[in-house]
Parts: sequence; structure tokens; C-alpha cells
Amino acid sequence: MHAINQRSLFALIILFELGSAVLLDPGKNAMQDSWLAVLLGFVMALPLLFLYGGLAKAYPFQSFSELLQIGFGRFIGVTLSICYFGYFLYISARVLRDFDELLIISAYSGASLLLISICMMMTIMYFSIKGISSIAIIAPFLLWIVVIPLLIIGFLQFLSGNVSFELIKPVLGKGLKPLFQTAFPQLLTFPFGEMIVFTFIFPYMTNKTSLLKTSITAVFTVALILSFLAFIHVLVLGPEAVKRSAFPMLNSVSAINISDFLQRLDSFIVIIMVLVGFAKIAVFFIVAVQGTHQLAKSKSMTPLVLFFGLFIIYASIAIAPNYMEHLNEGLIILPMFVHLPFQAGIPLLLAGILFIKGKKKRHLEKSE
Amino acid sequence: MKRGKWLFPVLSVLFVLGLMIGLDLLTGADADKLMTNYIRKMGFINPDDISSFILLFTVAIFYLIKNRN
Repeated sequence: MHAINQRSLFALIILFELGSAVLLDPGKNAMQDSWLAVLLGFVMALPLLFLYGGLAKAYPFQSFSELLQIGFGRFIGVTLSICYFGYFLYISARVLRDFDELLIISAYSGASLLLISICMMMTIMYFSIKGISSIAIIAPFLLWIVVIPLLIIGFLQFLSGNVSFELIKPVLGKGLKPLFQTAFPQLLTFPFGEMIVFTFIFPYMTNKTSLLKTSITAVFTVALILSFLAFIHVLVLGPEAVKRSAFPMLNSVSAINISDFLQRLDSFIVIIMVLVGFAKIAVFFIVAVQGTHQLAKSKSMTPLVLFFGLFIIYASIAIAPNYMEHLNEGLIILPMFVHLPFQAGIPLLLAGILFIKGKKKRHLEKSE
Repeated sequence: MKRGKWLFPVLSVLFVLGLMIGLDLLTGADADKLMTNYIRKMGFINPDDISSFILLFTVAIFYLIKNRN
């Protein structure tokens, strides 16, 4: 991996975090308070972000995989690293399926799931061979292509007269309980907790001093964008329709019609979605490939990229028989049983062990 | 890569497969459903799938020929 600067990291985190979250609206179970749930999810994720940033600050030259080996010993550390790389591959396959389904529903209704998977994955495999810096370099450029149209589309909803402020009321009508139920564990783990993957990238930063500040600013920007979009979705479609919709973003954008001139913007939004999806899959995939490559101490990365790439194409199709089951699995079962241990459980345990080990070491040095 | 170096990638892939099957079982899938998802669905009887594979192998072969040195 080559060095990454602060600007690229900032852009990459925004693109990565927007990823499938902008497509699926993860706060939609909180009904008309989904925009508040997103902000609450961000506040709940702050300790995790400080934990990831704190680990990177305390051990600036070690990746999370190396920290696992320092904390838990060689055997358990390597085993956990393999599990982490498998976990990243699994999420890559899951996000790939999300975007396959989006493309089939919105544009390529007759196309095969496999064909779309192959086309997307081949681009990502090519980028992977070039390393994480290749995607980090284009991230600031992609950020403008994604964020500006997203905000313009949000304001176009107001111009087209589709919004009804009655739909957002009553604010906190059912109290704080639905908000907390949506924020924990769903919003905490998806999208905010997925920042765990950046603990594998932080050692390759050129300037590590403002790493935590950059990460938190980027995630806060994402929380604001997601909250704004969730707010717009409810204003346009209503809370019930948003909850039922597989892709609320697509449905709300297709409602834009200004003087029968500016309409059918859904195809435009699909392009933006593919860009953020590409960034998310690429980050997970590249970290899994690079991590395994370093662990195996192999000479060439190309065979590994081909092996993992082909497997992800297969896994994205086998992961669920249909899209509804895929969503249920991803938004209900996965956060509690898979995301939480990987994003919070193991890092917390590791931080505790490293803290005790560091304290013991300092104590020994003092006594000598 | 030497043969021994494939251990870590294979273990990662096995972990993903285990995770996928475990989650399917948690959602109440039976053996027949697992068989359909993981094996039968990969029968590629759809002509679109065959063309996808031809595309994939063409690109892979092109890449291998280009980088044969």
C-alpha cells in the first residue's frame, strides 16, 4: 500500500460510509423520526470511532491485524485476522448484491445477476491490483460527483412541490424508544461501525496527527447527509411507504417532476449509487486482499485478487435466494450476531489487553 | 504463491461460507434450501449466465496472455 493523505482519507471515508446506506436508508424503521435516528446512531458510534482512532494513535505503524497478534498472541491473532478478512469479504459480497439488485430493478431488468456482478467485480479487481492508494487518489474527485448532485436532488424535491411537512409530524410521537431501537444495533453497526475497516488503512497515512479529527469530521458529514436524505424521503413518500420500499432513494427521486421538463432523474441517481457502491466494495475487498497477502507473505497479489474476486461473485449470488431475504438477513440478524462482535466486541477486548500490557511494561521499565 | 501460502486465503473463504450457511440456518433454512442456494443455482442453465462466463474467461485469458512474463 502507498501513502494516503488527509484529503483523500476524508473523501474516501465519506464515499465508503455513504455506500449502501444512502441506498437503503438504514434509519427507516424509526418511521417519521428516521432523520433523528441517524443522528442518534452517529452519537452512539462516537465511542467506537474514538476507540479506532485511539488504537491508531497509540500504535501508529501497526495495522489492526498486527495489533491482534500483539494483544492476543501469534496463533489467536492470526486466526482473528483471518476471520476479519473473511468478514470483509462477506460484506463485499453483500454490498455487491445490493447494487446488483438496484441495477436490475432500475435499469437492466432483463440482465442476469451474474453478468452485473462480473462487470462490477472486474473493475474492483483491477483496482485491487493497483492498491488502496489508487482508489484514494480518485476519491476527492468522486466526492464532488456524488455529494453535489445528492444535495441538488434534495432541493429539487422542494422545488417540485412533492414535499408535505405534515408527513414528518408528530416528531417523537412514540417517544424515544423507536429511535433507540433503530439506532442500536442497526445504525451503530451499519454504516458507522463499518469504520473498523479503516483501522487496517490508518498505518498507511502520510500524516497521522489529525487522523482522528479527519475521521470524525468525515463520519459527521455522512451523518448529516444521511439524516437530510432520510428527512426528504419521509417528506416525499411518507413514513409507511419509506419503510416498505426496498430503495427509498430511488422511489423519492423518481417523483421529481418540474414543469414536465425535469423528470426521470432516477437513472441519474443510479450512476451516483454505483459510484459510492464501488468505493465501499473496493475498500472492503482491497483491505481483505492486502491483509491476506501480508499474512501469507506471498510475492504476487494477482492470484489472490482473482481467487477472492471469483469467490465474491459466487457469494453475492448464493448469499440469499431473493432480495427480501437478503435485506432481512442484513438489517435484522447480521447487526446483532456478526457486526457487533467484529466492530465493538473484539476491538474493545483488544484495547483492554493492550492497555494492561502497556501498563505492565511501563511498570517493569520503572522498576528496572 | 507457494502451496502453503494458500492456507490463509482458503481459510478466509471457508469462514465466509460458514458465515453464510450459519446465517441461512438462523433464518430457518433447511437442507433443501441450502442445496438450491449454494449448488443448484450455480447450474447456469440460463443462456445469459453462459455468456457472462464466456466474457469473464475471455478477459481472464487476455489478462494472463498480456502478463505471461
